[in-house]
Amino acid sequence: MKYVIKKSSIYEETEVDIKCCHMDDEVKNLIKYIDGMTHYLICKKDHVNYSILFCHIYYIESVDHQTFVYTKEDCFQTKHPLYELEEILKNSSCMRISKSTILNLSYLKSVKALFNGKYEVTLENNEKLLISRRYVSDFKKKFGL
Amino acid sequence: MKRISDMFLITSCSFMLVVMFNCLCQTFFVESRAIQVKDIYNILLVCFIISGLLVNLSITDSMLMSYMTVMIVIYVMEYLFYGAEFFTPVNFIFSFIIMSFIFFIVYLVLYYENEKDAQKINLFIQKHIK
Repeated sequence: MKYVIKKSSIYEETEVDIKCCHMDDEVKNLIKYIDGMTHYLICKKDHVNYSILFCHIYYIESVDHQTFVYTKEDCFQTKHPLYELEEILKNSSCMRISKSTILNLSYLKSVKALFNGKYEVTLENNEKLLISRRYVSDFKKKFGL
Repeated sequence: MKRISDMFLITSCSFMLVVMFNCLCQTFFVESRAIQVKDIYNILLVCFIISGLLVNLSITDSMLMSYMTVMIVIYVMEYLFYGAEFFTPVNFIFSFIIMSFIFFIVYLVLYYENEKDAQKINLFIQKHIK
């Protein structure tokens, strides 16, 4: 894949122009990545609001009816319930991996199968999450299996 | 389609294992009752039901729940085939051990399949995400 960067003061905002002969997985992933770079989620930490870009989210977890957004080193709280976030993030590289977790596949480091049919994923920040059996087939589909 | 092929694979493997185990038992324990045609049909039907249940239950989260469901189905099947006289302590323990063994083998096969997929995913991650 080739890319051209045109740098000039005449441009008011950054614009991405994709030229392709057909929409293959590579192009789709690129679009997902760009979407993640431009869309953000309003989260709260210590009574201060933050805008977290989708692409910075490692995973989202729901605990006791509260939703927490995890980035590389931080944890924020959001008012959105998990099912709503699942809908918001459906065109990104995020997917539901259990009843209480949404994972960003971009930060996967490794995957390990467990004897009970679940998968254990390790993220780039070395956190470990479990993919429940209900979501294992969807997870495999994301990798073309 | 993959589910159906998994189901038939589990059915044939477990059927073969149970029949072989029966034959081995008859070789070493002469006093044990010879395997009859009715028994073979029973084994085949039970193996088929178990594999169908396992393939579908593999999406549920509790391994213990799938095990319990499968065991209940097996005992209901045995009751339908042989009636109440099947439930002697020896028969009960013997079938419990065999079925637990099959269950263990099936989970081992599923684990092996999942581990193979995990390796493929790891390769994909190394190639595309890194």
